[in-house]
Amino acid sequence: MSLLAEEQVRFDQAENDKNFVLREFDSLREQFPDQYIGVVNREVKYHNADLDHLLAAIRSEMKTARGVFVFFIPSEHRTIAV
Amino acid sequence: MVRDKGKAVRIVVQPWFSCFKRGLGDPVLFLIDTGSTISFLSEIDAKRFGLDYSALKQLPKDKWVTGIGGKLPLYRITDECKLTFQTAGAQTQGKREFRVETLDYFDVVKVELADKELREQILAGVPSILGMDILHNFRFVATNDESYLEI
Repeated sequence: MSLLAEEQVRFDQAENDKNFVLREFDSLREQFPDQYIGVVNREVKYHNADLDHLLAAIRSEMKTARGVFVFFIPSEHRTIAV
Repeated sequence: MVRDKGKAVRIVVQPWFSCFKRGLGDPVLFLIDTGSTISFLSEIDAKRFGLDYSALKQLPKDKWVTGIGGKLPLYRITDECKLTFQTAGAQTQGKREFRVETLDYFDVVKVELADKELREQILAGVPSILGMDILHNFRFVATNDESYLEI
């Protein structure tokens, strides 16, 4: 598979994983409140309340955290203060 | 372009972020923020990429991100970066169109706070932001029913 084709697959995978998180957000909030999740192919493969620990777990299996959709699930609605 | 439906409306987009010189490349979820003059990567995404802040240039304080909780430092990737946007629904419609925004640099936020608990809260709550410095190149539509960037 060419690099471009690989990137396209990854692009589509990321889109699917994002849509999965948005669609299942309420359920994920019940399961993983105030935790970071790492989603691969529409499945929560990693979760941890500490980002560094989550990334370490991902890298121990995958060498790099690229390819994983990392998202924080707040236990309640928050206003983003940026 | 996706808008999460329900109580809180957050409009997000997920272009491919790349910086060839730094070996970076992967989709990044950006929150569209028309109230922000600048765009930046979150610390979550920076860590996911394995970015080394010590190899980045810290910007002067007047360029930092100002929010309700105070100021957060910005660091700059001083190499060319690209954001590649893909048309929504490309997988199902089978028609892919792309738009590439080439940028001379890209900024990265770092949550530097002595209070560990507060740092964790802010870290989790600050997403990657697509601000007006990039959005002004697009036609951005937000209505009750849909939101999208035209590429």
